[in-house]
Amino acid sequence: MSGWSGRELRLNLRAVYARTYVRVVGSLREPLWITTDAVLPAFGMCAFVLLYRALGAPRSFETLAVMGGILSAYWINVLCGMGAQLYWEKQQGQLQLYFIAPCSRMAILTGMALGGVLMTTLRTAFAILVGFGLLGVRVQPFDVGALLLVFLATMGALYALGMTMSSLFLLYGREAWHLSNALQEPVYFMSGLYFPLRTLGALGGVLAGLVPLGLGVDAMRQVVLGAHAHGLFPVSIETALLFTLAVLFLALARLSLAHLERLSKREGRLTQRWQ
Amino acid sequence: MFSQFYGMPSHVAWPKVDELIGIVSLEREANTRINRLSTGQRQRMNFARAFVTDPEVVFLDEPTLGMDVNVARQLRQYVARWVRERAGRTVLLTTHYMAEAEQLCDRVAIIDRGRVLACDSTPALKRQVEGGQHVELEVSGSDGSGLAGLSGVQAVWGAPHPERGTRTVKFRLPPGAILVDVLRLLEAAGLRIDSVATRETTLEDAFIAIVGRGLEDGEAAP
Repeated sequence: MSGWSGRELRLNLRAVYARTYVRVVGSLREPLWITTDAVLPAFGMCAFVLLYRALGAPRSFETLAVMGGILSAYWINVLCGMGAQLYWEKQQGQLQLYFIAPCSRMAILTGMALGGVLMTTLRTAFAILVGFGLLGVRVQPFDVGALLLVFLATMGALYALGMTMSSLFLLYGREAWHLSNALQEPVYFMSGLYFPLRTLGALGGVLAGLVPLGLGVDAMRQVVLGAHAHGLFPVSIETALLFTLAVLFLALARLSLAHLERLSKREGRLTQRWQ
Repeated sequence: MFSQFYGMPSHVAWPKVDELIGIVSLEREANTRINRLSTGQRQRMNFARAFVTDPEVVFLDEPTLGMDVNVARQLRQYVARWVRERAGRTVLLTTHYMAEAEQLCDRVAIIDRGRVLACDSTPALKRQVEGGQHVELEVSGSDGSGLAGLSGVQAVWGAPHPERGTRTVKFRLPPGAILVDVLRLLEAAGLRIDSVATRETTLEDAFIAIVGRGLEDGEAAP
């Protein structure tokens, strides 16, 4: 993205705004997505909160499950709303128009990501309402600034991963989509959405820590619950790792988009030959 | 969204979007998600989107294929006006509709099986086949072998009429030939002629003469 002139920067900011706007307005026109993105994940969260309560587990475990439930909505959005997006755009004949537009493809993906974060944040209100309102889960006072910083780092890493997946899904089409479906539950497990990551043991914990969702959940829990979160690494390290992953995935997304662009120019196609 | 991708400010884009929505008759669907639009509606939306940013070059691939007659006419009028009013703008149109090509194109390239057979203005293409009257007959009673006896006649046969059992046959009268004489010859060869029509040269005639067959006989497009 370096080397943009003022005019290019304005053009790309417009593209980010436009893609964000369409994503937000489009989501509002699709009430069913609210059910799949917000209400359904809340069921899993409720089950774990009630299970911990029935077992007489420490109250911190209930908070831990609620936070996992909140972040799972973002993960679903990354998978369905980001990963598969270019694939669907291709099916609808819009993708070619993205590639001939004079703005950066990264700006378009950034707009998709921002719109996704915005809409999912609105939808997580449901999980927060159910967890902290209906189920009566309580938290001690915590550092809101630190939570915001960790949240931003988590979103950065998650949606940058989504941007990479978006290009890869397009390149590999249905195969990548099937792989992502197959990996959904293992990723939930490896991210420790409803239990402390440390319980996976040292190696499991480190492997799980490589997934931005797991690192984000763990770091946010530590900010809110302190020592009761049974965190994997110190928050500062996890936050730094998340920012590093965000930069890494952004670079990967840019590389894969550049590859797609080369393919389209050289061979007139945007997918693998056998697609 | 696409206007913004091209750096077009919203206050310029919105009136243009509204105008184009009217031209493609999608006012009622203006707030509908793309995945809820029918194929035809989506085609019209794509047409509108192509012109929002006032591009220098537009590629239109069969823009009116399968469209309602009135909407197709509106789109053709819009394209003609757009090119006329904006100097230096170019539309590259692919179509199987000869009338559409004739109405809209300054230059027509006739492509058959991936090869450009001719590329010129419509009048110039027509001149290639002028020199004889164009005749359209509705005939019955023979397999058409009678026409083989007429030297210099390249005839194109239509499909049999399901109820009348007749077929249409089009050909250009060879220079110097007299139509009445040709018709007598055909009747003598066993063809019953139900109707006769003559007309001016069209782009379709030029197409048939250049390609050597009609569109319904195989893939070919101007």
